Amino acid sequence: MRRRFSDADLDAEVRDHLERLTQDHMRRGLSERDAQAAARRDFGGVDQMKEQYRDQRRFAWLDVVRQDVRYAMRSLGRSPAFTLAAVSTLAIGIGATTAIFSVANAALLRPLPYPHAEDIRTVRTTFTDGRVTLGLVAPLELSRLKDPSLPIVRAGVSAHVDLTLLRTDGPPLGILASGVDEGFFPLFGLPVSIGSAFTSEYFRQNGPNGAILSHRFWRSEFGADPQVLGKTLTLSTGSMPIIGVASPDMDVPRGTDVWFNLQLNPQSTDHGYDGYLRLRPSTPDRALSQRLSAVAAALGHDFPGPEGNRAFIVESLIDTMVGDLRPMLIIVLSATALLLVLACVNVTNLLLARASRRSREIAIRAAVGASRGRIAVQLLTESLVLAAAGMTAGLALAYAGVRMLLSYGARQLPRLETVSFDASVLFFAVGMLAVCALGIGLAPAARLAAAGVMERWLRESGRSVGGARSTHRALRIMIVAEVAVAVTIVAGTGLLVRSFLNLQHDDPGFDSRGRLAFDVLLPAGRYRDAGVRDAWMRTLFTNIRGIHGVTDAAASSDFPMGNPGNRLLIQMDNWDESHVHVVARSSVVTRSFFSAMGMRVIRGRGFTDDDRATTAPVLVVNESFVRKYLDGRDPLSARMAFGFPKPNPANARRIVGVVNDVKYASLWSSPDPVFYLADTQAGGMFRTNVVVSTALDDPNAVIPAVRAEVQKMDPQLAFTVRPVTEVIAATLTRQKLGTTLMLLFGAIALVLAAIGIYGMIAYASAERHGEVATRMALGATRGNIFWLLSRQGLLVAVTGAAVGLGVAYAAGRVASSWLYDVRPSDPLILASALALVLGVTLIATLIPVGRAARIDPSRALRFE
Amino acid sequence: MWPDNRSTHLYMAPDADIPYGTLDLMVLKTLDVMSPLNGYAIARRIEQIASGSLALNQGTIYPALLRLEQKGWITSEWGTSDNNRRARFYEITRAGKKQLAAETESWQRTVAIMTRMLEHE
Repeated sequence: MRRRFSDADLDAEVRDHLERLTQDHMRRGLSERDAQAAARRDFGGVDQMKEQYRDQRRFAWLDVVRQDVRYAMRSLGRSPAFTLAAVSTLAIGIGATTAIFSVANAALLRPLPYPHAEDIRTVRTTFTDGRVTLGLVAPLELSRLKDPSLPIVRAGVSAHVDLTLLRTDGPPLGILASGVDEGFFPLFGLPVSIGSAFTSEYFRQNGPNGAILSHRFWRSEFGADPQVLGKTLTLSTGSMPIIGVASPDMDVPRGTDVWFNLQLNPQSTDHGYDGYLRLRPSTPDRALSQRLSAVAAALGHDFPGPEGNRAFIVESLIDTMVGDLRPMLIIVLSATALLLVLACVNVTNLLLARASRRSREIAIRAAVGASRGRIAVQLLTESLVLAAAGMTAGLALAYAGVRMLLSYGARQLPRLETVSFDASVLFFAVGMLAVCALGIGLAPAARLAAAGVMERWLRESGRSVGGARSTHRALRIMIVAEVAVAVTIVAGTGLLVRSFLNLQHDDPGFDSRGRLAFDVLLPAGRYRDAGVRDAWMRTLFTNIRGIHGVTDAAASSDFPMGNPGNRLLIQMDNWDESHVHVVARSSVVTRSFFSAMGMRVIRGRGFTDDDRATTAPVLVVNESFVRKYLDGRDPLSARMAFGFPKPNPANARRIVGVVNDVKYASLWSSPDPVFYLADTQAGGMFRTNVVVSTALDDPNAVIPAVRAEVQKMDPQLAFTVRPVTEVIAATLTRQKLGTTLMLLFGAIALVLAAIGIYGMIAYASAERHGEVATRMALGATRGNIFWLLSRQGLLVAVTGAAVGLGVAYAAGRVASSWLYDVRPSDPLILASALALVLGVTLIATLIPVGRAARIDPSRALRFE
Repeated sequence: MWPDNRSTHLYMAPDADIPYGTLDLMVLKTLDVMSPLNGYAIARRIEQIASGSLALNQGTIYPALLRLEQKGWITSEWGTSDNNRRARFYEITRAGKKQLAAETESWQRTVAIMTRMLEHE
């Protein structure tokens, strides 16, 4: 168009025009000069006109757009039900997608804040012979990993310690501290924000001590005081000068409050450190693991005792942090994408149905000369207006959705504490919008613009009985798919909810009701003597038992679903040399621990006051232990030795009792073999998990009294008293999030299926208006009509439900590792999902059918 | 700049333009009666029919022609004019005829209503 209306063409036209005018005036007797002047006067301002002409050429499309948008708004406003259905479908699709994407983006996609974070790995060790280890690395290993011939630029370690900060203006505070070596900070590559990093003198033998605060801790504990340098961090175990504040982004290990310098002996084989590596850029994983196996082999050769049969395990930093959240987020993300596609299908359906109903209007427009392209563009504009409204509502929904997801506990999951809308989320939504608008707009536009359709519409309009047959078929197939997806998602939701409820009501092997738990870490400096610790603990328990409502207080070295326990190698008295490296969890408990926890002694006895340091040492084991290691022997006749790195025959003891299994790692893990030792026969405990049993329904009532007793005993201890039910609930955060998301999906899928069916039936009923009227005039009853119109909807719903049931079962089998104690074929859940979806689709069918069957045949026929 | 020696009672805008759409309708009608025509001939014909009661800045028909062509109501083609020059000839389309019919009807309705209103004492 630009070329056809070029300036040169216009100039030629104007020149020609002026010459003709001049000639006219000359013919009337004017001189050439006067004639030229008169011509220019008649013509008017040439430059002004050209300006106007260019504006018209340039902004014509704006006029068209404005016209189309106005047209679209008007025609959408005329059918508010359709517009509402379409916009809310889109809003749900876009809103849910954006909300989930915001969460997934924060957890998975957003890069870690460290320079070239893709080169950072965590490193652990494992035994190649089946023995179990915590997977930490030793300084000796670290020094080997620093070999410059390896593709490793830097290696560093950290060791995590719980410390207690003594405050002048408040109760002592438990803080998370990490001792780090020289390689640690340079490896992550973030500069300190105040003060200085650790220099190499800090890592020399007998060098100075120093603490670097995390940015978060500096703000919360020191009010972001810029004068913090040189102050002293007073801990229950000693004090350290503060030398710096880390970068706001520095957060390794996660949640660290304070980093301090470790002075390591590079020859130490103490496996107690988390290892980190920075690789040479773009080192292939395979090359790295080959080199690391060589290092491990050399270590095993040089130090066969501590280093034999060890291997390195390397993982990217982000995997270590996000862990098993990734598959869940991927599942959630694909479910969301599916929903968005469904939403688009729905709106396409609605638009298609609408286009069919508007066939007469469109046919007339085509007949009066509107080009197919123009009509297609107008329909596309309508789709874009719908999509824009949908996106606006969707973003509002997304905002609310993110708030809701966070409040449902996502905040406690790694990397989710800072979920926010950022540019990429917005781009994602806009991308989705573009996909939607094209998907929605093109289908009807293409149909309308197709040759032959116009003519058929003209012929069919007004008197059509079946409508465009292909439109019907396309509609039906899409609705079948929609119902199938709804059944799949609703059944999946049912399985997950059932699984979650099972977990929540699962018997962990102990009674969590009316019980409180807290753990105290007695500083080794002041409680060096086992007798002192023991006496301290006994006094504390006596005092707590004195609180009104408390029935007992006991302690254990590790607590179910609390801190990770200790595993040792064991040797039964009747085992030969073939039983090497057999592992069991060991737990040190006080005398009344089993009864205080509500555990049951199944055989023999629990610990008594007679189990003292001076009497014969004994063991209690759990049922799993008996099943796994006693091979049908009478447990009460067996003796067992334990130890690390190998069982120590000197501490062999007799088994005197069997207790029931308790789930330690998580509610969904199967119980481990465990052996229990009495604290009096195990040298006491440093770290103590105290359980307080009460006769109260709400144990929260005695928390202040329990706190006061502990503080009376030692005002310098940091601890948090929580109901045991809360400790368990905290382990279910992820399941809760996943279940919440699935519930949302289920509801959304139901709504979408309902809208889809409703749209289809409403459209089909409107199409068959004339037929219905004719039949009624010929004597059909309302019931006949009802059946005639709803048959199609029911057929579609039943087909979709059958397909969905199959898919749900298959998907359940694939996802069965995510389910707890639920079979994917659980008949109750599948039947409920089926009933729910069919019920909703039935309602969605009956509303428009009911309306259609109520028509007055004589009026309808006259209208036709 | 507007020649004030002529009658201006038809025009509302001081920028000396025919009310938006009116000129378009005139051009359409002209081309409906007689096609194809070049710009000069269209302008002359409008002036002839108005027989002096209408002041037309002849140049303004070019933006109008462009507008009509953009709407698909007229088409144009380059050809040779009677004085053997290259000239652009305009012709009404089917859509243009429909549009003309619709606008004629609405215009006549308006005129009828206005006439009745104004003649009513």
